[in-house]
Amino acid sequence: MRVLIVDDDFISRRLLQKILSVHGDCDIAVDGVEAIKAFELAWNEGKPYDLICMDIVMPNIDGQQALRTIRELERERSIHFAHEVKVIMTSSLTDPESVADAIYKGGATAYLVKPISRFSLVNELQKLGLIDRITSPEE
Amino acid sequence: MAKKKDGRPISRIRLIPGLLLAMALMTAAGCLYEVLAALWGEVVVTGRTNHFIGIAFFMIVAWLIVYYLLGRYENLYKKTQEEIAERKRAEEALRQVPAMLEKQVAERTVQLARTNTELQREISERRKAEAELLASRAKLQLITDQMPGMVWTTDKDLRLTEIAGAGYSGLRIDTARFIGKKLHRIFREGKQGSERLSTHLMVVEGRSGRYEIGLRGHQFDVRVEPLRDGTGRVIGSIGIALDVTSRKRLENAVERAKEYAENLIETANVMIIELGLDGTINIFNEGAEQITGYSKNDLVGKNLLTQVLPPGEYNYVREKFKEWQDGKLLLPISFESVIFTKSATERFISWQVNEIRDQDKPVGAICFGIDISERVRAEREVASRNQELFALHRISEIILGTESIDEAYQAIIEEICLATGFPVGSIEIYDEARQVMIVKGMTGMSSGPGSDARGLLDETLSSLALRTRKPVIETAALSKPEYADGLVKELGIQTFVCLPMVVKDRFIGALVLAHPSTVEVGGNLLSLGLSLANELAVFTHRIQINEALKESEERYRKLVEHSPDAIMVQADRNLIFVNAAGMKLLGAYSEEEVVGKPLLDFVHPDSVTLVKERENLLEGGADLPFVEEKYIRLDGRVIDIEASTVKFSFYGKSAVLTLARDITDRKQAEEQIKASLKEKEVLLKEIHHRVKNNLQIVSSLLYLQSRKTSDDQVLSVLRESQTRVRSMALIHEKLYQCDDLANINLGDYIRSLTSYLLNSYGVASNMVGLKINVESAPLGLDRAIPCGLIINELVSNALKYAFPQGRKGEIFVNLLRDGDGKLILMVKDDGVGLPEDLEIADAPSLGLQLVNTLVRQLDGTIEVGRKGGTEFRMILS
Repeated sequence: MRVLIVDDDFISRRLLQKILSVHGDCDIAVDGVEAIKAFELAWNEGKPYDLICMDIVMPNIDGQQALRTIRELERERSIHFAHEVKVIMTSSLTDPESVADAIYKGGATAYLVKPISRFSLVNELQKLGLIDRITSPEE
Repeated sequence: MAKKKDGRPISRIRLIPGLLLAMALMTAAGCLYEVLAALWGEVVVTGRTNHFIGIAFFMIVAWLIVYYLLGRYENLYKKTQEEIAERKRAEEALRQVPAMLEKQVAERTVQLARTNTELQREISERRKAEAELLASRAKLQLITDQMPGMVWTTDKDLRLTEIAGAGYSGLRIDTARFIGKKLHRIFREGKQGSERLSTHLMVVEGRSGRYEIGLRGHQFDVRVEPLRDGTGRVIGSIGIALDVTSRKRLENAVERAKEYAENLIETANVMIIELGLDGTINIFNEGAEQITGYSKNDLVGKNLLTQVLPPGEYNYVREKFKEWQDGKLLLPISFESVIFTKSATERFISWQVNEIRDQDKPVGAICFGIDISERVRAEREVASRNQELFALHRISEIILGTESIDEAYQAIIEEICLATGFPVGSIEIYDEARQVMIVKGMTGMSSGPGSDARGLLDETLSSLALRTRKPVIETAALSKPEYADGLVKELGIQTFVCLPMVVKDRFIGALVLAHPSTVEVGGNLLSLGLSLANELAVFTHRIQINEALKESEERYRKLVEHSPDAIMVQADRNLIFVNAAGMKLLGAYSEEEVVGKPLLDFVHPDSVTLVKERENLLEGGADLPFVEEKYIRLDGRVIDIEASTVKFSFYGKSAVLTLARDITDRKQAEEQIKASLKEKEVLLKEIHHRVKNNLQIVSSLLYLQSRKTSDDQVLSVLRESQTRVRSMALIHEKLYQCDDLANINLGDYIRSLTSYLLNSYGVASNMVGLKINVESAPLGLDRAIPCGLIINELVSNALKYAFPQGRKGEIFVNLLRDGDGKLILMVKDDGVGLPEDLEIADAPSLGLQLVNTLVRQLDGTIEVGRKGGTEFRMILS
């Protein structure tokens, strides 16, 4: 599984990486611009990401905008939506209204409210079918 | 008019007399009018013209009267004329009657015959018609009687003329009873009655009507039509009532079912949403309103997929919906999804979607949604508990699996960060002695753990945690000035949670978690954090206790090892531990020589019985004090020991601890001292004996001296001295005779002394009686001698002076101790008494002076009573 972690905060990113590196190869992007670049690069390489974990609040291009761009790029490449990259939006905003609103318009697959524990992330990955349910979350 | 009567004109001539009369009457009337006009003046009629009108009027009236009278007269005249003519005609006719009659009879006969034949024909025709009618009526009756209802007719006045129909038979109503009665009387009064009546009234006006009627549990639908005759004229009404009870019942049931269903749809705590083919919402029930917070008006007509469902689920549902539209997906389908309510809160819904088909074509879908948020919440709760358990399990694994405690802390905090999703964390342990927090484990920070590492907690926070022992949660730390200098600022931390670790009211430290964003610290997270903190606290507490225990064990081990007394522990009668002193005691150089052997092997045969006895006592649970026993050392030397044994639990086993001390040297010293003491006692007795012998010799010398003189005064002096010496010798005698060399039993002594004095003064015991009452109190030698001398003096005095010339009497000697331990000595006699002028303080005699001096020497006081003899009462300290 190829994973792209997008978060402007170093320590948050590191934690996500720690959790996800067990399940796949993790790339890092620090803002929306990098995220879009990384997404395109992966496609061009022929190894697209299976999962993007993206923060909403970021400098330059924020998570929502980046997500919309990524979805547009996918549409341009006429990717069937069953093969769309799964995007988990991570948000520290505790107000679910903005979360729901923002995410739904961008077409995210799921969202998680910070703090993101290993349990909640792994649980979500299982729900999305990215990892096997039987696999124990560590190792 | 009269003129036209009989159609004959009246001759003008005949009118003349009438005209004349009319003229006269007219004149009279004019005159009458004038008179009336004159009388009333112009009250009734004004103006001259009216005079003429009045005159004309009266003239006309008068004319009419006259004309009438003329007419009557003419009639009378005419009648008379006619009667005359008639009579003439009658006479003529009478003459012609027989011929006419014959002619008429003949005509009539012909006419009658014709009529008769016509009648005959008519009758037969009518009969035929009647028969036909009857047949038709019977048929009708049959039909009406058979029909499942009722038929009735009324006339125009609504009088019942006929009732028929099978409906009645079922009701068992005597219909004949009603025939001829008016409907007004049949219908009950009230709204319904009047309504029905008015319908009937309307019907007889020519219109048709309809109403319902209930009769004995049956429901009838009544149609009322006007009853018309052949010409179309309304002659009454006809009512046809059909029994619709069962139909009505059915209708009601259907109605109720419909209502019920509607109610059910509306009020069910289930979302019921009907969707069109394109996803448009057609029905949105109350349950859906309640769950989503949207009202019908908000959503009906809008698209469910784009309005209510959230993003992640949206894709799924959109996909499924498309499949269904394309005919690839067969409904019904069940799934669960999240929806966002109007107020943007999540709710979990379990959906069941069924197809609505119309003539084998799908026209829409009906979705039943059950709110399972509570269940999901419970599941999440369970999951959260699982997470907690999992995290705790991991921590336990770490605790068990790591060698060094510091490593364990580091691994634990990393695990905690993963479990809670907080990227930064530290475990800070409180050092009670130094009153500072020491960072033990840390993640997300540049500096590693160590005693000098800076923790996340600054002093304010740690003291707050220490003081309140409650979790501190901060979600906007960056905006607070109090965190401006610390690591919070450095790491860009917005949220941190400080969870104090407390065990048994002792503040162990704190678990600190931090997040760079503002995050919600919810109940689950807090509970997880608290569990982790608690686990950590217990872990730390255990470590600290272990350390303390180790330290304390070391201390006690040293105490035991370095104890100068032998400490030996036996379990199952074999030695399992012997300390250094113990080994020395037993003469061993290494533990192997003694450990594993029974202690009894070392016990001297003399002590074996005692040791076994004590063992039995110990089994009974008694605590045994030190006793002296004899042991045989490994080298064969016999030693004396002093041992105490207790039962105790040693590594879970019942064991006996023996504390022993080598007292061989002490024992020897003790024996030496005892021997020396014995020696001294013998010596002392010898000395007392010799003193007594010497004093006895002095007394005997004084006696011998007294025999050489006959001077009474000298004799008296010598005897006094002799008794004094004797009393002292007596004390020494008493001393060496008893075991106690320091104390003397005064009771014995006083008895011996007084009887000696009686002998010495030659007083017969029947003359002077002695009453001695002495507490058998032992008294030291230093006090016994003065006491003895005082008693000697006073008793001697009494014997000498109190009973002259053979006077009989008694002498009392009492020696008691009062509550303060003072001696109360009383010497009393019932003799003649002291001379009046004698003062004790400056008595001339040596005896009383001696008494005074001795009392002073003993720090005492003396009182003299002169009542009934003499009483000396001394209180000696």
